Amino acid sequence: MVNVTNILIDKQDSFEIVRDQIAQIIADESVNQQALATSLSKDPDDWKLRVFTENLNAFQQFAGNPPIEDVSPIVNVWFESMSPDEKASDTIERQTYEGRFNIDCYGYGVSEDDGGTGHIAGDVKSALESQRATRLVRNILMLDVNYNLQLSPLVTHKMPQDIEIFQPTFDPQKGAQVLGARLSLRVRYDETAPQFDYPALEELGVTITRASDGRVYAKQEIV
Amino acid sequence: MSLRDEAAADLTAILNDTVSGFGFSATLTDQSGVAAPLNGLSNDISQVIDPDTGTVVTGRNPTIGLSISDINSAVPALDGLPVGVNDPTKKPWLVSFNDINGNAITYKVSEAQPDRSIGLIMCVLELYNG
Repeated sequence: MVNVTNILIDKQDSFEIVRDQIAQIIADESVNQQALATSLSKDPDDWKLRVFTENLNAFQQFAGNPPIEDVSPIVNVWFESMSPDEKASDTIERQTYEGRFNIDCYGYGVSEDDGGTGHIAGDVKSALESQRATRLVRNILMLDVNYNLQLSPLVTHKMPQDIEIFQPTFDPQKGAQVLGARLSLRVRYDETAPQFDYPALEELGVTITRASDGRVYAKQEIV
Repeated sequence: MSLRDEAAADLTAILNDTVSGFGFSATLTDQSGVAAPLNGLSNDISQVIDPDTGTVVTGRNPTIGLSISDINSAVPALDGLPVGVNDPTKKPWLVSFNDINGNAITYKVSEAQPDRSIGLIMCVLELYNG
């Protein structure tokens, strides 16, 4: 007979909090940047990002016939892996992990008439859109206010790992020109065992609000 | 008539069989904007692809196969054979045909793969807005 606990394991683990917090930070700052752009008489759409979590088929949202209603870049935050730092952990109460979080930025660009004598090439447009989204995401995450993802003391360190481009057009598959860029972020954070009660950490839980299509709402959008 | 000539004639007949075959009407527009009606074998299908994101996703793969002799004899006359145009200062070759629901969809010729022995040109297409 093995022993069981009388504690219901009913909490968010830190890796879930970190993932959702990354998404919320990007969503909130994107809306904030749009407002700043408007105040400076710039086109706010150039700062618009649509943020999702664990949405691995974001390509699908660009699969319809043009004109697509919303062609702003899609950002998908997803958790990939984590490994413990045993020297900074104990075996019972608290373990320190380094987790890898991927932020995929999809840009869409359908070829279209330029109104003159040429055309706008969809492949170029999708590449520039995904890179613009990646630039925004990297800058947002590296803002001074986000040095620990606003999750102190849970998160003690974060560092971008690499940025890579992936494109689905390895085959004759060009119906819609979608190109993705992945920014990988390494985050150092603590996970705790359920039998230990940490009120301070409990308060760090992230509750994100989503639109019907799964998009993460910015706090400013919730009324 | 050699077997090759016969195969080329069969190909043109197959591509133009819009009554009992899979031939389907389309419009081919060259870079100067001249549009000519043609028949061909057109597709716009979904395709499972692996873009190295960690999961396979559904992509879209529109294509059309046209007879080179039909293009050469099109009315009004078209300017050569379709090619993929990457230069943004030039107009691309365009193809439009209906989907199964009757919606007219316009595509840019992204790649053209002519088979000059039998007279078939396969065009890989991408969606076009305009």
